[in-house]
Amino acid sequence: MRKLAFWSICGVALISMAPVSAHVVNIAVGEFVGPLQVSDASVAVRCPLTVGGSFEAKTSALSGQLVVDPKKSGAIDGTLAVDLRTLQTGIGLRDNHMRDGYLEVHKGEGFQAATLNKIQLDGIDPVLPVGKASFRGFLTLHGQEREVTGTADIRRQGSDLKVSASFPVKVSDFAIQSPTYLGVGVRNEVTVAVNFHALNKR
Amino acid sequence: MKLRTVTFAIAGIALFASATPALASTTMIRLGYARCSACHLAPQGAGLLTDYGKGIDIAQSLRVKEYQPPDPGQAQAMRYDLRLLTSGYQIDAPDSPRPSPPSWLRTYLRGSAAMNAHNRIAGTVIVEAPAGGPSRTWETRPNVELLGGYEYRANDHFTLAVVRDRMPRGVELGETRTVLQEAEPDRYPAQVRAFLSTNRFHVTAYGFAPGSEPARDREARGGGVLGEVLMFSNHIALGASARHTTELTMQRQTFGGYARMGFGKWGILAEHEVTTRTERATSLSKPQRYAGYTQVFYAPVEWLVTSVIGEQTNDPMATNRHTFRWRPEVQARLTDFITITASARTDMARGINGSGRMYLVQIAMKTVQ
Repeated sequence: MRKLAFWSICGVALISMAPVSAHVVNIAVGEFVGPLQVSDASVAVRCPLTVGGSFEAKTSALSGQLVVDPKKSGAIDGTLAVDLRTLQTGIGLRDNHMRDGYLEVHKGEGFQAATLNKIQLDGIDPVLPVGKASFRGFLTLHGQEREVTGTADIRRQGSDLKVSASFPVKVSDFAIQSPTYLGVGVRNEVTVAVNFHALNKR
Repeated sequence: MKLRTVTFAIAGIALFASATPALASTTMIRLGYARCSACHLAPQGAGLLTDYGKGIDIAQSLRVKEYQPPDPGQAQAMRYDLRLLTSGYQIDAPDSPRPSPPSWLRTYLRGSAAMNAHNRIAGTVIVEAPAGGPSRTWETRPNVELLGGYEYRANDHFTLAVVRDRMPRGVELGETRTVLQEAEPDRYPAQVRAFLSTNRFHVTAYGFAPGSEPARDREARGGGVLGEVLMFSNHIALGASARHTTELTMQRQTFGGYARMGFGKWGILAEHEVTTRTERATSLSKPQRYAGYTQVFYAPVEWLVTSVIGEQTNDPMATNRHTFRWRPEVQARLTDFITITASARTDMARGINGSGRMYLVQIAMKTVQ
């Protein structure tokens, strides 16, 4: 059960961003044995505008595998990765600005994806990893690694888990130029929301 | 069956080389734009665009390109544009009700001058050809309206304006008139408006007085308020409205609700209201009037918005007590200066057999600074 909770959390963290590479860690916790595979994911980065209102950058390109290590209380091995090249805001020109001008995905590895790893779940029963929890993890974005914290809601669906998580990200913490277009900017703090299923591959 | 076709007189319009959508982009709530002030100078939307609005305007057109403001390093004190809206239609009405034809040409000269960071004056001159075809242009004088006023923007949360303009609406559609507006005491009343905004709540309060001779003769005045709450990351705005109107012979109380919502490519805009009426001399209550507007839209690509729009009224004091009209509509933003809208409107009235249908094509153009 703990494993499930951990995996859920990890999934949430990944939502923020990262390449499609995934680490597989063999684990066995309660009825959930083996890595949890991320599936049916959606990632939405809510970007508040300085003049009010907001827009969202969305993608479903979240991947990864998570494993709960029973020896570490609340720790989750594995990495969640979001392919930043697939983020869409609903306006094509804005997508280009975001990817090329701010996320600089053309700079290659470390920029094309955002990853979340070293995930630690807190405030949830690791034996029955269902419910609301907080988590910590290390987000790598724009070539920078920073610790982030957020909340996760983990629900059981059969032998799998459904994870919804969110966490704030300060754009300036990742050496990203402050996004501005024709006098309107995105506020420094954006919110990453991630939803995915963690499939029990046992 | 009566059939009439009006062809466009676009040749002269083309000289102006640019245009803007006829409809305010209320549908942009599908992308999280719940407030108009990001793209429009005026907090209620419609009218002149900010630089950011111009950038979004062109980014969402078929011919996408980067908008280059005249001087990116300096804020523009003076803004203006010329906007033309021309309509061509065909009415097929074997029986009543017969849809009213639109004017074949409306022109807008719009200007705004920022006196400083907080104060702005704005004006619009509207010249509207008579309803019907171009031939009537030489028989009947065009209708000329002068709109505008003064606006004080204290901060991002409070704006005060003294204007002659349309009444505030929960679903702002620019110059597109709906059945909701048909019962308003004046098309362009003089108003004092206050806009209060937070991240989650918007309130618009206004008082109005006659803005035209007929309204002055009826001594039409009153006040109202709209309040709305934003939810789901600015993808849903739910609001309510109330307005009190006093005229020489009648008092009206109008209460309504409205919703703007959109997610990704689709959304719904709806505003419905009920008006109670009382004769001032006798205090006799008259039957209520109901009016509603509902639009379901879908944007398959950024520059194309398709809609199905329904409008209905129930007014026991009207010639046609129950009316219903609906139309499929397609709006294509070709460039930042030209937008084409096509629709086929069907009008029906209870108790009258048959229906009237109007096929309408509109081309809107504006200059871009």
